[in-house]
Amino acid sequence: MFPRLRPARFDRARSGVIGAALALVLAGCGDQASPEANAPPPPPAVAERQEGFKALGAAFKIINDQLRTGSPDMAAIAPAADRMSELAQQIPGWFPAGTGPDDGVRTDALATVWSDPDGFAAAHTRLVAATGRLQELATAGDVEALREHVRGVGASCGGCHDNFRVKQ
Amino acid sequence: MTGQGPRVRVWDLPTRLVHWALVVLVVVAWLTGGEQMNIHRYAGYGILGLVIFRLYWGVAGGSTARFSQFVKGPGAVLAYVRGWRGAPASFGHNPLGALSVLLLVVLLISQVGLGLFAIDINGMESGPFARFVDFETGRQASDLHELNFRLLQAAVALHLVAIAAYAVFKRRNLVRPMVTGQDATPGLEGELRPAPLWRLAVGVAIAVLVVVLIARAG
Repeated sequence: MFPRLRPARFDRARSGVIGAALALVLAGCGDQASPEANAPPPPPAVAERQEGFKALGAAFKIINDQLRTGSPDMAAIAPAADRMSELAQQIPGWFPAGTGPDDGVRTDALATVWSDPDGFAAAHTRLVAATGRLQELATAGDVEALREHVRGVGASCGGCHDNFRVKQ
Repeated sequence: MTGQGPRVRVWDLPTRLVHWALVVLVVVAWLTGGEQMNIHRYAGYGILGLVIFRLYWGVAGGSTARFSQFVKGPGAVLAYVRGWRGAPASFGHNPLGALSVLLLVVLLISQVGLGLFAIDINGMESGPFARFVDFETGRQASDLHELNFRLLQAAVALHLVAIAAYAVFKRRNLVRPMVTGQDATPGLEGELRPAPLWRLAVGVAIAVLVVVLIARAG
């Protein structure tokens, strides 16, 4: 029901993968980037949060894909909204001390996650509120309200990406 | 300065319109990417239509727009490069410039193609085909969309450097003919055989139809 989680390669494309990326463009499919054998293994928390955010994005995609259709399938939307709400609440646990860029960890998380805990907590609170409301609307089956509300959910994702993650 | 020769028609109107419309829309897409995604999407659809039309025009358009007229083999390209300083002015694309055209077209196709599947990091904005792939694949398409754009920028920069090189070393203005369609470089040999109007209509219809079908897939 959710897309399987692939080995983490959440970081932005780097020059080292240009060749692989181009091969991918030409092949038009597949996702086998060259393994970066020399890099030290990231702490488990990094893999956990990468997979967590991918699952969050995948769930949100299910909802948005449905809402763009003429007759959205509530049976698909409701569990995805539950999953988003559940994952959103787990986020603080994905960022233990010692897993930031200042700790020598290769991550797209910014040091501000740890240096501005109040700002990070506030951004998290907004996401939890937005996904909670999403869950309510999904349970109620209110398509129009959902279409309106997903903008706010997307903005609350962006609220964190803008200040606590490497710019895309 | 070299003198002025007689003005001869080199580029037909559709070729010039496609060229300058691409300039405008690529800049628009560049400036709106990641910011104003509705405009970005429409710019992308416009670029897609222009590229589809240009491919069609490359087989059905005026003589200087046709791939069969200007794409030359490696031998001709090498000979042109070796004799670059003394080479007579080419009518239409020269053998080296032809490679630049192909490069730009290929990069534009891959750019639009990747954009069709791309999903933004918030999972909010996406290309019309993103619903056929999972979130991570859409994110990878988005990363490659970004990377391919750097390649496109480099190719455009090379294109501009080449235009400057012709202006400086050969005293040849390549921009004006792309605007007016007419070239007054002395010693030009060739003749533009324009395509009939109905071919233009067919090309526009194909491009519009394909773009509408793709846009509505989302």
